[in-house]
Amino acid sequence: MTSPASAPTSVRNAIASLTAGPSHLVLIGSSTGGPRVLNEIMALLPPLPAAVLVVQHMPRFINPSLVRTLASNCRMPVCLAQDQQPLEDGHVYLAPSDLHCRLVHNCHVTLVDGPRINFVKPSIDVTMQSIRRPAPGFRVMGIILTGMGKDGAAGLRHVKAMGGFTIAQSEATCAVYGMPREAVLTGCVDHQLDPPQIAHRIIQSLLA
Amino acid sequence: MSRNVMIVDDDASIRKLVRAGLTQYGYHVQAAESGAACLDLLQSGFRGVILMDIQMPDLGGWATIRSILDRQFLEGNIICMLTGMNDPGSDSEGLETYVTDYIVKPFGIGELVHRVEQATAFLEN
Repeated sequence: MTSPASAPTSVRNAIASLTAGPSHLVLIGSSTGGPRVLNEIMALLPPLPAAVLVVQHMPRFINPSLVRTLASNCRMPVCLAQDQQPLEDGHVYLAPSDLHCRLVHNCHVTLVDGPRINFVKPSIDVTMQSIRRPAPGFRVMGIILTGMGKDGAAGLRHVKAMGGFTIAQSEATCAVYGMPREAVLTGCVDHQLDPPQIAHRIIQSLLA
Repeated sequence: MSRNVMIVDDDASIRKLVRAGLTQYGYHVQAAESGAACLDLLQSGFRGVILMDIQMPDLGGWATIRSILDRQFLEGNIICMLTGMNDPGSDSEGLETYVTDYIVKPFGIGELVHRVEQATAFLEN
């Protein structure tokens, strides 16, 4: 039997990644008008000591082009999240269409089918509500960007209850202020910020 | 490079404004005065950016999007709402998944071109 020490590097990295998980988590929920804002935020982010998971409501055929568009503007690798994928620092994961995306132990992704929540799949609420109370020093940020409806509001409340830090996009910069407004109405939003300020706050929180 | 745009609006002045504004930036603009006319253009093979009004007689914007999905015309098209409603309300019932952007009237041509360019990029990338 191969011992961990003698296993190939790729296997050891995979084991280490599964064991350790990311240092911190940034969860971003977004809908109508979101791709433009995501581009703006991603372009301002340096490689982070955190995994960034984005739930963007979008048709399936857009998935690959949004990944490519974000990747071309971002200094971190961007990929579509895959089932059972461990999350790594300095990576951006985009939840694929038509499946809910949950986090297990705050460190890897599981993709599950099921009914639409808030009429949508993936639901931001499902992803954010899968967060568990993190260990001391592990920061979780929940961010709701432009979009219609109320998806993400309950999720953001959960992130806050788990000790996380929460942001909603400012009304003036939203294509549609529906989701951020619903999030703000929960009373659990720490800050309402413009997209550049959101990027700055992420950096400040994780790199300061 | 695909630079096709369809404006779907029952207001002839908006159709004229959008057509004139985008044409001068090199876009090929087709106009539909109703949701039914939009579906006809899609049936004829239109692929590109669809600028969709919400409030139209007969088939409204959301109902038109539902028909686009039912008839499997979505792939290869980006839908942006172009509407006088600051708040789209709660009628979308998940159809927002298929709406990439939301532009509120009145709009400047510069802003419209910027939004259409970004929407087009998703079809190109």
